[in-house]
Amino acid sequence: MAENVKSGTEILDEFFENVDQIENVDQEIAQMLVRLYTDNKLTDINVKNELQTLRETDAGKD
Amino acid sequence: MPVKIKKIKVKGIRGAMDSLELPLDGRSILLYGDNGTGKSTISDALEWFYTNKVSHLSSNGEIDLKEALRNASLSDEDVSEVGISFIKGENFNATKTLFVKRGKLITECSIATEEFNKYLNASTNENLLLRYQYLRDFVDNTKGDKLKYLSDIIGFSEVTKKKDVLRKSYNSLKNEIKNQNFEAQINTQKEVLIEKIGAAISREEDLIEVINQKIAPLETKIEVRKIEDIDTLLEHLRKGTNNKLNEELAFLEKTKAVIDTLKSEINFINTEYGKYYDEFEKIASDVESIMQTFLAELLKTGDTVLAKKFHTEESCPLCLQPKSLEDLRTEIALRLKEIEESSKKKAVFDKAKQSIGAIAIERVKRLDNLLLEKLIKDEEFKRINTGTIALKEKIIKIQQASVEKVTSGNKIPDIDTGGLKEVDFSFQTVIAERIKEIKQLQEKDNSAVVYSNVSASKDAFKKIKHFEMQRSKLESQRKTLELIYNEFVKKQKEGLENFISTFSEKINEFYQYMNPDEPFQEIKIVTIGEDDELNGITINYKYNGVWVSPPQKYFSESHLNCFGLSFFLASIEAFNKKNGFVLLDDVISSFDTNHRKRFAELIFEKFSKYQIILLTHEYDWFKNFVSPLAKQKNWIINEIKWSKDKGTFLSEKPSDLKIRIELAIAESNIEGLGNPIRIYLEHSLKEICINLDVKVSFRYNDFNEKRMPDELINALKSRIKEKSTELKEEFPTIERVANSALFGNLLSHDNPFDPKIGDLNAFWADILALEEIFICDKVDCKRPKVSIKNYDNVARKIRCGCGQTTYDWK
Repeated sequence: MAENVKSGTEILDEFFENVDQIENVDQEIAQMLVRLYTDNKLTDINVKNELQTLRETDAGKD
Repeated sequence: MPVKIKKIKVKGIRGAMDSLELPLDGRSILLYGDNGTGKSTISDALEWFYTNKVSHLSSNGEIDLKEALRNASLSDEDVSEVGISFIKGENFNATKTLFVKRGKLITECSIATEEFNKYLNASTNENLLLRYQYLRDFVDNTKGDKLKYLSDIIGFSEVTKKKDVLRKSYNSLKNEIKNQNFEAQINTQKEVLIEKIGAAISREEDLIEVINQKIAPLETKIEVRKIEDIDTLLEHLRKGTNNKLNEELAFLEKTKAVIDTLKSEINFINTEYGKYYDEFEKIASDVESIMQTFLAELLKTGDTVLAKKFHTEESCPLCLQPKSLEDLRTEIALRLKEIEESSKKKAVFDKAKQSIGAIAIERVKRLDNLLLEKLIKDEEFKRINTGTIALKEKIIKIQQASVEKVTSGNKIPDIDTGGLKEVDFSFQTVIAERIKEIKQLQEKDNSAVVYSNVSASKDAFKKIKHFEMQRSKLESQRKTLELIYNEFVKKQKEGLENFISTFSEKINEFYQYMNPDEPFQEIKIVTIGEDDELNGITINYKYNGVWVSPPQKYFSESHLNCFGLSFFLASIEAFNKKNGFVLLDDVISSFDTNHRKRFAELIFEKFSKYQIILLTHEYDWFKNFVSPLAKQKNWIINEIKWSKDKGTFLSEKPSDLKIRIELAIAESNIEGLGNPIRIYLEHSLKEICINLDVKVSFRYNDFNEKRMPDELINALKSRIKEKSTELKEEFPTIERVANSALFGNLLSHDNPFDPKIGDLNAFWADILALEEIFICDKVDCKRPKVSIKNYDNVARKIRCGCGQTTYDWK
């Protein structure tokens, strides 16, 4: 089978490996998504909570 | 380089009571086992080793997997295990155990290196195992389930799940921005700025400049240079003013801002509530169809029951009323289609419900924050307190309406009754009047007026900045999520297109191989759904030159199975990179004879580079078709049996056993070799004894089979002593086996004896020498075993078939 054929998992792995390379993407959000994906915890609830934490952390920095 | 299996050892798992060993040494194996012999013990063991689950056991929530995996006859002290060793992957050689510890079944793996865990993870993404049950499910599944099955094989269901997470996260941010209604909050604060300092300024330096102008007449000698200086200024101004009035004014202005903002949102809130109310009414007036959405699962299950022929009577499986099963399935399909429409309506309703719910909660939170103010409890502000509480209660009612069950039959208030109205804010006048009064009181006190204006404008300015920042952060997060989601969809589409074009070619190739000269051509998988939405995949093919979908239209069950199998085989080629082996468990059970033959040929021709573990319970296919092919290709051929004493065990042919023993000795891999040597010796002696008509004492049935080597050697010697002088001369060779130090130790079936390689080598040589006495060494001797069947009456000799090896026999 041709080398360019990727399984679903390979597509996911490759996507999250390079998510921080997407132009104009907030690096903290990219890293957060990669972390959740790697830990097998990428759910909408977890992302929502993490986004809120990021906003609050930013507020703390301000 | 993909790994192949050197040996699989299963002990105390499923049917395997004793140790069940599959010494493969990288070779493929064909295993026959009648139903109930425990063939699937091997597939279950392999699945558990790699995935920690056994899907056909895990799918039933009532079954405890670990309990189900353990052989039922084991005691708490026994350890169940699955050990796999590899060729070209020795670092992954591992044994997974299951044992009782403090009353609980515990799993352990002999190695836990990062390399091994990576290998295991990679293996879970490969297609190592196919059972007939999966193929049958594939055929019987409803369209949606079938798509899920196909997506699962290629792992796209996981991609769809992750895409959903990103989409929901993006939508959640969008909703949050909408629910917060930052515009309204900022506008209120801008109005404060205009009122207090005459301009809705947005830059810090402008605010500072205006404040410095305002305080100039007071000659405070304080110059505000940065925003933090304002607090010092306020502290200074406060000293000469009525502090109580200042606090009161601050409280009233805060209250005014919150209530003003809420009032400005009447239209926004009422519109969202109106949308929800309309959807609620629509659905409440057609509760039946929504109730149907809850029935979808039941209907799907019912259809599966019929499709899988769990119910074959021409009646409804639930009420048992007479009914044509075909009609029943058509009706179910129709109802499911109707339900699909209802589900869409419900999705719109759910969205409106979620939106108004979130908006109401946020507003209640803002009012609660206001109700925490100390002054609001004062008798003087009772009207403000009751007005705020009434407003909060009204919004709570909106929130409660948003959680009302649409199927409850309860009504929710319409906009006229439940929506916000100007009159709900009538207590604003109390606030405005009191503010006016305080201002009049402060008119004579210039410091107090300046204090109040500076303080309020500073707060308003900071709030605007806070809201702007919150909005900007949410916007920025939304933008990032949008970019990520769009890129994800792009990658998913690219991956899918690549996959489909290459994969379809392979599926078609395998399918055509098993179904030559049939009118089904150009079989391919195609996506369904919108441009950027993959809802699933389906199958198209040309039937007599015309495109057809779905495949059930003309496919027989065998054709569908062939398709499922082609799909699986194509996915092996596509995804199996770490492992060069695959287990096929009874996959041809529902194939007709032709498809079975073509399948076997396909495996031998197209999958020769893979190590195949092929399990079957189809005896004719095994015996008359696959075994000859497998023999030519140097596969191991064996049978799985079951007995009450041993559970599932392998009936290894002596020739294979001999190869295994010699290989193990050559590699000095002698661990656990005692039992195979004993089994081989027993078998060899039994054959010699049968050929020489050696008498042993009578025993019933199975016990007759359990003759130990010592008993057989003694009986053999007695027989020789009685019959043959020439063979008697061979006694030293026979006795070398009987007198070997290893012999006594090997008599026990589960001996813990651990001999040295040199001793085993010598003992094995003695066994072979003993065999040679009774076997002709001439290459072309067709019946090389010396037997009384070849008794020469004239010469009074026993001999082999060709007559080269003879012994006197009286």
